[in-house]
Amino acid sequence: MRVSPSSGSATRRILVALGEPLPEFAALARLERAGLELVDGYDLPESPDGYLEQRLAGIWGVVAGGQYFTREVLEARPELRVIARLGVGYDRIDVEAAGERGVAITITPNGNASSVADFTLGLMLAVLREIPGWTSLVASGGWRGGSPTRDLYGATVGVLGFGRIGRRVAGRLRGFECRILAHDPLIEPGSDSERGVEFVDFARLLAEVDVLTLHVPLSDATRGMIGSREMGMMRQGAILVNTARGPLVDEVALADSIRSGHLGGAGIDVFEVEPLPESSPLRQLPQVVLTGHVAAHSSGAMRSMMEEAVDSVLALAGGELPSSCVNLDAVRRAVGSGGFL
Amino acid sequence: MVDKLNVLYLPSPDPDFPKHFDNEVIAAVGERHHLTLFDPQEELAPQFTNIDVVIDLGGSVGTRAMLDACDRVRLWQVLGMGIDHFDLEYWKQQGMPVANCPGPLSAVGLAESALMFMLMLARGYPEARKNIESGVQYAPFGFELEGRTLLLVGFGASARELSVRAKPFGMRVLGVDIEPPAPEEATALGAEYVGQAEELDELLPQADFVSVHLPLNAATRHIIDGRRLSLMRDSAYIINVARGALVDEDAMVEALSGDRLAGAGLDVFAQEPLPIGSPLLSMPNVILTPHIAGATDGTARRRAEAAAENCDRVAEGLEPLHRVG
Repeated sequence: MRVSPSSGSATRRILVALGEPLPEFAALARLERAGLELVDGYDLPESPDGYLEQRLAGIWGVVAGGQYFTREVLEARPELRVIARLGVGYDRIDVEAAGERGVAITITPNGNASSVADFTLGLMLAVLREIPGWTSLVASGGWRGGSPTRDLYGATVGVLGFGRIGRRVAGRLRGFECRILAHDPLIEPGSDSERGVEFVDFARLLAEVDVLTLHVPLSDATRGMIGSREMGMMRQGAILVNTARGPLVDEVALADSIRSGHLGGAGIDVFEVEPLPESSPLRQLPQVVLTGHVAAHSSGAMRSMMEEAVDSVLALAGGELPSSCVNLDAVRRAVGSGGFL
Repeated sequence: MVDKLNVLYLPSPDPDFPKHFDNEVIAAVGERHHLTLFDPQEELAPQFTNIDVVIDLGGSVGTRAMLDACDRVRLWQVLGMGIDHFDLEYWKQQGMPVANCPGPLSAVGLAESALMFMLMLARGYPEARKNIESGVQYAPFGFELEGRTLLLVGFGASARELSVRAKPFGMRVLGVDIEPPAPEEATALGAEYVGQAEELDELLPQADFVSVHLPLNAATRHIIDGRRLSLMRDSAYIINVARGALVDEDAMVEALSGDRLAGAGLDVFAQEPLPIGSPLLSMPNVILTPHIAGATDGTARRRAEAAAENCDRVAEGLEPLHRVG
C-alpha cells in the first residue's frame, strides 16, 4: 500500500540514531520515497541522559540503536509513536510506558541471527584454542609448537535459548560432530532428531556441557541466571560463551570461577556495563576472549536489519501493526478501535 | 596374547614441552608393551639396545646417531603426519622401516582451526581485540560466511573435515586435488566442485578464502606463489594450517602490505619459530599461532593409539600400517 503520510498533517519525521552511516543503510531511501523525512541522529550517544529527549522534538519515529527510551523521555515526547529498534533486544526501552502511550516498539527478528551465530562459533573455537594466549606468545617472540588445545569434536555443547539465534548456532554445530543439548522454557524436554538436538532441563544442561552458549533475551526472569551457583553446577573446564546480553551473567563470579580453575574459559561479547570498564577482572584472564558487542555487527546483518526496520516503519506509517511489533496488544489497547494512525 | 615388545619413546628434549603426547603414549603403548622413555642425560647407545620399536615425537627427535645405535629395531614410528623435515633418505639407506600417523588423525583439529581463522578474520578479530582494550564498542564491522566461497587447495583428510564444517555456514566450497573425488562424494562432503590440480588458477579468482591442505614436497613448495596470490581477490584471505612453505611467505607479505590480500590466518611459517623480525608480526589483519592447529587433545590420543596398534602389528609379525619408507 502506498502511504501518503503528509495528507492532513505535517510530514512525519524519522530520526536515524545509529552511529556512522554505512553503505548498508541504502534501505532508508525507501522511507524518503514514501514521503517520510529523515533526520540525522548519527551522533546520538547511548547513555541514559536527557540529550535524547531534546533530539526527539517533533520526531514521529526513530530507527534506533541501543539508546535508552525511559518513561521520562516518552512522557516528554508524546509526538513519538514508533521506536524501530535495530536488533532483537529492547531491554533499554520502558515497554510499559511505551504501551500505555501506544508507542509501537518493533525489532528486527531475523536480521542479525546469522551474524550472531557465526560470531558465537568463532568465539567458541577461539576459547577452546586459547587464542589470546597463543597470539600474545607469538607476538612477543615466543613459541610452543605442538602444545595441546581442545577440539570441539566430541564435546557436549549446550544451547540455552532456542530461538532464531540458538537454532542457527545448533545448525552450524552440526558439522562438528559434537553432542548438542538445548534448553528453552518453551520447548518440552525430549530429543529432536531432525535438528540433532536433545532438549533437557536447565539443571541437566548445566551439569553435562563442555561448552555453554547463551541465546536468551534479557528480562527480569533471565537477569543473573548464570551466577556462581550455576557455574558451580557446571563441569570443571567447561567454557561459557555469551553473545546475548551481559547482565545474564555474574561477571565477577565468572572471573572468580576461571581464576580458581573451575571453569576453563569464556568468550564474552556483551557485558554488565558497556563499554567494559578498564577495571573488569575479565581483562586479566588469558583464558577469556573479549570483544566489544560486535556479534551482530556485520554487513549482511546490517543490510537485512535495515530492510526489516524500514518495512516496520512503512507498515506503521500506513496504519498497520506489523508482526515485528513486540507490544502489539498494548498498542492496540492504547489506540483503541481507531487504528494506529 | 601378543608378545610384549621393547618400545623406546623419544619425547621432546625441551623440558618445557607439554607432556600430553607423552602421557597418551604411556597410556596407549605402555599398557601393552615394555615402554621406556629416552633420557638424553644417559648414555645413548645402551638405551637403543634390544629395542623393537622406536616412537619418535613429531619425527623431529631422532638422530642418525640414534639410528646407528639400534641393534634390532623393526619399526621407526613417527608420531606425527608431516615427514618433510625427517631424514628419510638416511633411514631408507639403513633399511629401517618408517611409518607416520596419517592425515585423518589430526584432520579434525586442523579443520577446526582453519574454520576458526575464517570466522575470526571475517569479523576483524585483531582490530576487535585492540578495540576492547581501548574501550571502543560496536566495531569493527565484519561479514558472515554465508554465501562466501572457500577454495580448498588439496582435498585430503583435513580439507574434507573443513568442507563438512563450512557447508552448514552456508558457504560455497570448491577444491582442487591431484586425485579429485567423484562428484557425488564431493557433494556428500559439502563441496560444490572439486577439480583437477591444473584448475587451481581458474578457481583462485572466485575465492573469498583460500586454505591449503597439502603435504610439503618439491612439487608443492610455494604452490601459492606471487603469481597465484595475484590471481586472488584483494578482499580474499589466506588460511594455512598445513606447512609454511606451501605459500611463498615473502610474496604473501608483499600482497598483504599492498592491500592485495585482506588478511591471513597462519599456524605455520617458512621458518619456525617465527623469527622475531618477521614482517607478519606487524601486519594488521593477520592472526598468528605457534604451530598448534593439529595438536589438539584428540589428535594426541589418536596418534598414540595408532602407534600402539603398529607396535601390536610388529609383535604379531604383520606389516605396519602407514609406511612412508
